This record gives sequence, C-alpha cells and structure tokens, in this order.
Amino acid sequence: MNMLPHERDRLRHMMAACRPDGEDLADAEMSELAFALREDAALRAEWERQQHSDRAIAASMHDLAVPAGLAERILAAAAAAEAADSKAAAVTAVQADARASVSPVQSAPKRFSRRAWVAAVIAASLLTAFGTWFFWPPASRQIPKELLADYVVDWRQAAAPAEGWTNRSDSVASLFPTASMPAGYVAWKRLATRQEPSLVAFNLGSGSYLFAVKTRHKYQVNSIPFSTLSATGGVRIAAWQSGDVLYVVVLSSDDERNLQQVVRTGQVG
Amino acid sequence: VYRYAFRLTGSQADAEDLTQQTFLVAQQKLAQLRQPERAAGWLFAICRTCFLKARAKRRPQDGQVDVTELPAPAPEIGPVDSEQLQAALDELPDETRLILLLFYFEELSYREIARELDIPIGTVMSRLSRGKQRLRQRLAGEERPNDAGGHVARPAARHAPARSVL
Repeated sequence: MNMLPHERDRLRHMMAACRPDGEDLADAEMSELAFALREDAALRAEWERQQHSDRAIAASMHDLAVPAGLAERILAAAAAAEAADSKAAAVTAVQADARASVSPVQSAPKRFSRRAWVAAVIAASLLTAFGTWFFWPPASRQIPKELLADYVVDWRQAAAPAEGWTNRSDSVASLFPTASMPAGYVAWKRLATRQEPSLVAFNLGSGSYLFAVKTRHKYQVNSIPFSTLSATGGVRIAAWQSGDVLYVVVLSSDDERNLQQVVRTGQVG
Repeated sequence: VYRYAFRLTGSQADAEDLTQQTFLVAQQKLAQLRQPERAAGWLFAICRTCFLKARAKRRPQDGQVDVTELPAPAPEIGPVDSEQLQAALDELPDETRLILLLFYFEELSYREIARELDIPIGTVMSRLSRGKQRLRQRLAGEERPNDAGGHVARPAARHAPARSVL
C-alpha cells in the first residue's frame, strides 16, 4: 500500500492513541487506521510491535512498592489538618457569636457561622471516614479463625530466631496467663509482625509457643474454653481472646503434650 | 496514588510529599467528589494538579528530551524493568510524562485524555505518538541523540534512585 510520509505519520499518531488490548480501533476516528492495517502488512507489523511494547510498559508502570508507614503518616497529617480546621471553625463560630451578642442586628451572619461550624464538624467526620476507608482496614475488625491460622505461620517464623529471648519478669511478662497455663514458660520476647504490630511470644519449650497479642481486632475465637484452629504439619493450635488480649498456643509436632495439658480448660484468659 | 506520584516525580521523597499533599487537598475538597466510584481518577487528577503547581514554582526544566521531532519508529521491546522505565520517564518533559501516565497508568482512552487535559484529540495523538516512541527507544537501549552530540542532555539530578524504594 503506497503512502506518503505524512500519511504514515498520521497513522502512527492514531496507532499510538490506541490502548493495548483496548477497543479504540473500533472508533470512527480510527477508521482510516483500521483500513490501512487491513491493507498494509508493514503497518500491521508496526502495530503488533507497538501493542506488544505497550503491554510491557503498562505492566511495568504499577511495579512499585509503597514505602512502609506512608499511609500512617498521611493519615496523621490528615487528622492534624482536620483538627486544625475544626479548631479554626470553632474559633470563627465563637467570634461570630461574640459579634452577634454585641450587635443583635447582625443575627444573619451569626446563623451562617453556626451553620458553617456544623458543616465543618460534619465534613470532618466524613473526612475521617474517608481517610480510614482509603488507607486502612477498619480499626476493629472481625478476623476469622482461618486467617488467624495463617497469621500464626508468620508469627512462628518471627519467633524462631534464637536471639532476643529473655526470662526477665516485668509488665510484658505479666501478659502470660499463669492461671490457665501453670507450667509456665521458658523465655519470652517481643515481636512486631505485619498483622499485629505488638505481640509477645512465650517459649513453652519443645518448639512450642504462646503468643499474647494486645489487639484492637476481634478474632473469631472463644473466650472460654479455647477454640482450636486447623493447622498442618502436626502443629496444634488453640486460641482464645480475653478483652483486648488474644492468646494463641501453638504446640509443635515435637511436643508430646496435648492442648488440654498445656491450657487448663475453664481457666483461660 | 503513591505509585502515580512516583512515576511523575521520579523520587521517593518527592512522591511521598506529593501523595500526602494529594490527600490533604482531597480532604479539603471532599465535597466535590460526586461519584465515589471514581475516587481514584479524582485523586490522580489532584495529584497531577499538585505536581504541575509545584513544578511551575521551580525554574524552567532543563536537560530533558526534545519530543517535538518525530523519531523513526521505535523497535519492539521486551519485558520492562521498573527502574529502567522510571529513568526513561524522567527524561521526558512533564507534559509528555503526564500524558503517558494517563495512557499507561490510568488506562484512559485518547478521548478521555483530551477531556482531562482539555486539549484537542489530535494533540493527544501526536503527543502520545512522540512520547511513546521516545520511551520505547530509551527502553530498547538505543543511543539518545545527545550521545552523538544532539540536543538531549541528562535530566536534572533527582533524589534517591527508584530502586531504593522498591
């Protein structure tokens, strides 16, 4: 198909405007290109190359990791801005009230300021909801047992390194539910995991652990007696939640005790 | 939004700032969001505006690729490395980079891009064509014009390299 250079350039512009795997070629504006692609093998080859390249670029475009903590920093900034706005709105309302009390004829501006203040409060509430919805899972959410069982895999891995263990008795160690687990523990250490930022692992010996987690979430486990979780590899898991503390006992396959021996049913938490 | 901001700015620090600014502006203008299901596009638009405003305050850009000349058709490229892609984007003028983000990142059609940027469809097509060809040439590892004494200079120094955030 014979084509003048400027005609080919125009077709290239059209080709460039078509999204990879999109249906832009069906547009009326693209009829000239669609026709040329049917007639011109060289142009068709160029089209194929471009589509292939576009797909590769589009795939790479989103290939970026978001820095850790960014969402928290943004939410904190948004909360600060919201607080500043509310304060400013409140000050404005107070000033308007003061002006109105001095000059009763200015009742219209006073009503407007109060309305603005109420609007600001409503807007602040909406903004908080929006921010939370956008950045975070709900502050307190129900977490099913199956998900907890997945978490436990990570927690065990986090607890596995030999370093960091201590048997010091302090407020952290007091999280250990001595009443329900009279056999006690060998040592403990703090852990931070992606699911729970603050948890304490108690080494029960034989590769077994108790995880005590101060949490804002509600795990779908019993408070008393404990719930058992499905696990693979011979691991046995018991979990219960008492208030804002979740307890998870993980007995390894090397541990010959059973869950009822380790945790006294009826005295958990 | 962070990823979008990073592709625009080319640096982690700038992208974090831009992301934060985007959400603060969104917070202030939340009442303007009529269709919550289009919140992502709305946030991207705020991000673009914040980026362009910040750029306008700086000195004029230097050292970026001239895309006014239409180069020869670029070769086909294989899988694209994210860092390499960023380096190629960094060399493009802001307006070209923006249009490429609308196309590749937001996956907007040329009509939607024209509406979003308030420019004619023909302009969208020609800018896309030139920008994409430059991008592909760079990604294919072809020599840039300045390597042979042409009109291209290295982009201005940016903050941390892209890989540092990955």
